[in-house]
Amino acid sequence: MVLFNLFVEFFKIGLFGFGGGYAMIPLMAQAVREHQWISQQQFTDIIAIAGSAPGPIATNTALFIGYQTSGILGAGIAAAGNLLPSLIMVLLLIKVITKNARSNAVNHSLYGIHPVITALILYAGVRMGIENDLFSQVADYPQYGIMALAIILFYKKVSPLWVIGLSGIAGILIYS
Amino acid sequence: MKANTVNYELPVLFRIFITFMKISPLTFGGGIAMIPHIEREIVQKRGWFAKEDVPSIVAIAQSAPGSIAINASIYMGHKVQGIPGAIAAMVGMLLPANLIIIVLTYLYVTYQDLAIVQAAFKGIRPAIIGLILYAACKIGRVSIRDPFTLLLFAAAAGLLFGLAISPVYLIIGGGLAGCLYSMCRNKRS
Repeated sequence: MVLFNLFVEFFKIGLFGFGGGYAMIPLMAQAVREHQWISQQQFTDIIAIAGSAPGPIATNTALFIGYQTSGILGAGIAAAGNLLPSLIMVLLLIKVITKNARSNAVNHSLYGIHPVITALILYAGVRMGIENDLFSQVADYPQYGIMALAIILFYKKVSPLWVIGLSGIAGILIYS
Repeated sequence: MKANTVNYELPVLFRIFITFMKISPLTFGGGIAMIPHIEREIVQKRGWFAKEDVPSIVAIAQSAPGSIAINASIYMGHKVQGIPGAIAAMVGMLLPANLIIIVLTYLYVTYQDLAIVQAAFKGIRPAIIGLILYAACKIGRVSIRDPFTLLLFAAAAGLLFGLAISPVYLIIGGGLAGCLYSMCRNKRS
């Protein structure tokens, strides 16, 4: 049953993840919350790990969640569920779309979907902040400082690996 | 662009696999970051695509749901060798990244209770929330471009923060709204 749920949820996440890996984070956060596969803190941590490794964040996260809930088999099923919609949709788009243009219907849908995705990612960020005791009374100034610095560094196009590594060192210096 | 051959040749599939395996570790910082590497490996070295095809690779990869790097690899693999080619490219794209993440995950699960690891992650979590907020700004800058998209953004944000409506319905709603609005606008002009 858990395996079936994993497959269905990750298939759904893959199917509605318009706009790349980050668009799937809100959907994953929702599924993790509903099924309580892992804690929200672990979810944040695994995004940090996936974000500092190369490769698609979504598949990496799917592998972790699947593995935590039902071992190797779970990891395989979650990743397969997450990838299948991509495979199907790209092959369908190849059939539908002629050489250089996207079809009008696809363009018009994406025109409406992308602002919604923006709101979803923003919401995911804020909600993750709350669940990790940022944006709450328990939060302390160093955490806000790290967040602000991280945003500036990402804006300056510093590699996520560096930002995450540096914030880890900052965490060790401040909190241990 | 090379035409599909009828019988699938294993050496070609293997070449596709290896080529995408080489690109995979270079996809740091999202799928778009790999475009220059696609141009060098797939266009210049292999000649599987012409330079003019690159924009349509990006367009398809962004139109389909899912990771952009994965979508792009599926599209390119399919052009070279049909569905087996698509799968070979996808697996090649995934394998190195997945091996790395399995090792990292193992380390995380094993050592997550150590005080020093806990302290490190206490510093990393705000950075990740910063990364996600930054990603929202980045996608917002290109997707909120007129009053209608601003309205959609505000409506979606309101529904999420106020009523916690499932993201799936919002995405479907956004797609329908985009289609309807474009139809009305075209009729008027």
